[in-house]
Amino acid sequence: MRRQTKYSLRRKTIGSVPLIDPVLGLIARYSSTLLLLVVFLIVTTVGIFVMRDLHTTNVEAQKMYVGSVLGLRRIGELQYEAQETRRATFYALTTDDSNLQIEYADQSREADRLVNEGIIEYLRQARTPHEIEMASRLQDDWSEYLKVRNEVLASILEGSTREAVDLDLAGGVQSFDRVRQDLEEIKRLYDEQASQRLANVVATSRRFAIRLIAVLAFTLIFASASVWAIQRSKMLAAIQLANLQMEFVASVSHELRTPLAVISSAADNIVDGLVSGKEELQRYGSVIRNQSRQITELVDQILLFASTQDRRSRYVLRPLQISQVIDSVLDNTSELLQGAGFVVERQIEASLPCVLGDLSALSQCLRNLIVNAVKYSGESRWIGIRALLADSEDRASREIQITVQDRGIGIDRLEMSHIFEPFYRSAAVIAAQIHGAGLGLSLAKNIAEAMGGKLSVVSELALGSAFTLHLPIMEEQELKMTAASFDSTPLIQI
Amino acid sequence: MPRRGTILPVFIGAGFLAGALSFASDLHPLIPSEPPTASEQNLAVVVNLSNPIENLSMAELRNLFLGERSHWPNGRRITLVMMEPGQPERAAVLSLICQMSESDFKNHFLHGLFTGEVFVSPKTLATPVGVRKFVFNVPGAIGYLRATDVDASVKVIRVDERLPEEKGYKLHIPPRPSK
Amino acid sequence: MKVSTLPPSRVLPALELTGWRVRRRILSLLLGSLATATILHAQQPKPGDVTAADKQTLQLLLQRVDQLEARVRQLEAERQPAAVVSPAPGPTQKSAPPVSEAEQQAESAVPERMDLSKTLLRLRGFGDITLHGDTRKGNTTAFTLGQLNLFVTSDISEKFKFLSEIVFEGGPDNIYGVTRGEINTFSVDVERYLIQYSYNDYLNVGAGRFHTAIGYYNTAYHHSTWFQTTTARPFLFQFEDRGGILPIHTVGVSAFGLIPSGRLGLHYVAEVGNGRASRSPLTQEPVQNVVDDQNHKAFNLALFARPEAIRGLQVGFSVYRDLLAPINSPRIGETILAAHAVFVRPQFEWLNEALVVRHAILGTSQVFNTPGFYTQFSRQLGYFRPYFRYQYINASGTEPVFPDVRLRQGPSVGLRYDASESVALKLQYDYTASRARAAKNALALQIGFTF
Repeated sequence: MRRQTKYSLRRKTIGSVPLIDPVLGLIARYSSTLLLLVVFLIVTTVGIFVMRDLHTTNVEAQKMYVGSVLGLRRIGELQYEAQETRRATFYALTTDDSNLQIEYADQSREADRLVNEGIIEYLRQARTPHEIEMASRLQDDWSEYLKVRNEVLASILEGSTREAVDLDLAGGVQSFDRVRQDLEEIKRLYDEQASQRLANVVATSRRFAIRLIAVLAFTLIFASASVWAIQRSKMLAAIQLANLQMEFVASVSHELRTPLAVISSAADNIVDGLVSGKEELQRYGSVIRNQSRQITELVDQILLFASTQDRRSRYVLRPLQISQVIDSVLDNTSELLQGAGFVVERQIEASLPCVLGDLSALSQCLRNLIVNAVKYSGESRWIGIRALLADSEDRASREIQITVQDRGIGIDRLEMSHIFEPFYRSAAVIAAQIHGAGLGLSLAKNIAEAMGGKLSVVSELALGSAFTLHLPIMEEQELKMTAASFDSTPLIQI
Repeated sequence: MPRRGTILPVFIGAGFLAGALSFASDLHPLIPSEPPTASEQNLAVVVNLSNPIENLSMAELRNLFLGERSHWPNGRRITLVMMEPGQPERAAVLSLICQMSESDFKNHFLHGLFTGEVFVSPKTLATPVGVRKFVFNVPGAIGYLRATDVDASVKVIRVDERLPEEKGYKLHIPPRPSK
Repeated sequence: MKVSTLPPSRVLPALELTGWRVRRRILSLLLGSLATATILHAQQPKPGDVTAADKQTLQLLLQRVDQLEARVRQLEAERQPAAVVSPAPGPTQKSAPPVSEAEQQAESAVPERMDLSKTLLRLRGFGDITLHGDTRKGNTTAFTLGQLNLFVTSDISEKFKFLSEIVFEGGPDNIYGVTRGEINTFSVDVERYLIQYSYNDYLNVGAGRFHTAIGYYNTAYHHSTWFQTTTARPFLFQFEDRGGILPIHTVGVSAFGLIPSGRLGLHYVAEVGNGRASRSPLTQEPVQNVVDDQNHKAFNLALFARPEAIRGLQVGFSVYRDLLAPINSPRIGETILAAHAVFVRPQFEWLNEALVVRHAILGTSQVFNTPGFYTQFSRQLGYFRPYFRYQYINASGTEPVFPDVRLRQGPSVGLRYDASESVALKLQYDYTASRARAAKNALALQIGFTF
């Protein structure tokens, strides 16, 4: 229990960082997708800004049209109707017929009504103080002119044409001139507003264009760099995989060659008659048998690895007693352990609940862990195997934790994320000439995940490593159900 | 020849008698104050909206329409507006206000211009709409319209303190013939 | 046991193939981005495109305004053709000198003149032709061309009016009792020549030559026989050059108008003028048109009423005062008192006038009163108008100014027929008893007309 506690403390303090490592793992796993997502977000944001600027420019252009062009048209109509007011008054001077004079008076009044309406409309749409002031001035000047016009019309209709002409010369010309100047000034104001709006639109367009080009260039560069980075990382990964495969081939070749060489040598000796006596023959036979088993184990491991990669492989899951599984594995590896002079410390809690698993796969998993512990123990000759019932990491359920521990060379923190990769062997291990295919831990991890569990590691250089197999326990109800159908068909096929 | 002393009084007396008889016979029936018949309409006398005049007696109206007045009390020159000969409104005015025939009216104005008493001849317009517009445009104008032809652009004045729609109004006109 | 795997030499081409695909993707991405940027930039409203259409619209509007301004200036220039104005700019020009400046220049450069085409000048004519004969020895029955009267008026302005009567009449002017050798000649006389100012109903002023407001007839009837009922004026109001005793014409100033009097309808007339020259010797022009023979002026004041209660009635009186200065004779103070009561309606008229001409020789106690009166009435009966007149005048034989008048009296009876609105036929019989000579019976047939 103390060791369990020590191991649990070590797990928390040494090697793994619970929050960042998963994030980094996610980023590493989905780097391409993330990069593309970032590019998409940037492009979308740029697109939003572009649309906004376009909309702003469009609104400005419309405002310019409504405000300036329509306004100029309105002023033009005002000028025309004002001239009509005066023209019709003059025409009344050309006839003595009262009926015709009345008609011209009507025309003049109709024209001035339109002018009044136009001025009121302009006053209503005036926004700035300058516009309001000009509109008020135009209204006053127009009213002044109309007073004179009315007197002129009255004089014409009365027959006093001379008075009418004098009135117009004395007052009408000046007041109409003021009206004309007011209209000119309003027209100039519209021109200025139009020019200003035009300048705004041009500036906005220029800013928008520069912004768009800059952002698109940046996006293009960033996207190109992202794509290049993604492709390069995939290329590197592919290269690394190829290298690993090459190393695996080399390693497997070497692993196969050594026992084959021993077998071949023994066979040669036997054939050459160098082996005499029953004892020597037994000794040679034992060597050949051991080497053959080694080759068989290696091939079995390779085939098992291949089968785990094949998604169609099937595990027969049955309720298993862990203690029995551990004992079985230790029994199978006793010759290796005793031959290497190892001491195995076995700690299995009593009354551990069953787990649902494939016996042979689980046995292979534990075997790989024990073999690794033997290989990487260094000078140490101690292996610890412990099984206990504990809470799962998320505290939502209970699990059985089977720990295989050694006091060997340990694993560098930088290697931690790679040790479960197939064919992976660290440079230090290769330099130490420790034999192996690089498949054991990968196989064990796959088997653990297939059983619904996981494989974790805690290690420190020169102090040793502890590999823990986490297996979810079977609930009581689940156990009853599986017991009922135990002899028929396998309950779960993976 | 009879003596001067007798002839003169005889002639003067005869003259007075003849004059009294003619006067009596010449008098048009007093402007009837009976209400208009169902088929008759009222003739409204209209002035410009700026004219402060509100009421005119029949005698004052007669003076105006005979050109014997040249200016309104506010100093504005009076411009008389008539319709063309043949129009029933003109006939009604000549009959009811001026108590003259068309030729007498023309001679009166011609004589007035000849003597210098009348300053300006009346203006003649073809339609009631023309009369209304003229009165609207000329501050010193006075004209006449059927009451149904009046609108808000002109002001109707009282004649002998009566408006056209009131009882006792004296100016009536036959209805406009339907087309 | 053999484990097959890809040889290293085959891994690298695979990686190269992958790299080419990457480059192709990058290139397509680059091209797509550039294309998108180009399309987006092209959809921007270019400044040139926006202003091109608007510039065209503005140009059209400005052209239209210039055309209207040019037309207005042309109209104003036509009203003052002699004015110095700048030439109207063409429609392509955008700016033009302000019209007010040109008009101000015009006003200062050319004196104001009246445009005859714009004033209401009216011309009316009157005339008559008479066939007359009487029983006086020496007179013959003859056709006589009456006065051809051109009545000219002009409404100069709202307040001013011009009036004149230009008369073409037979016989030498201003001479009463002409010799036969000169009786058929025609001469021209400006009988009235008046400019009037009308301030309001209460004040009107005239200046020029006008009919003196003595009595009623002189101002009611002028030189047109068509207006008057009878063929001729009563001899009380006969023209000076036809033997009349009154100063029918005056050259001076006259003021007339209403007197605020409500329904009474009071009017006044006040005149001052040159008066008339003495009728002795008789060859002189009695109306002093140009030169007054003395500084003393003639005054006349008349008052009359036209009560509204009796339409057509006019009653009034006048007082005329002058100082005559006949050559080689003492000066004579002339006072003419006249009263009238007339009743005029379109269908009826009754005229009654009476006056006294008083001549007082200054420096003496001699006073000569010459009374006169007439009464006339007529009645319209359809197109016919019968009339009657009785007139009387009695001047002393020693009257210093008109000793030849003496006593005259007699009735006239006639009939007027209005053949049309402008033509009247008159047939009149006159009986004139005279102290100085035998009574005269006269008959006249006259056609009077207006045109």
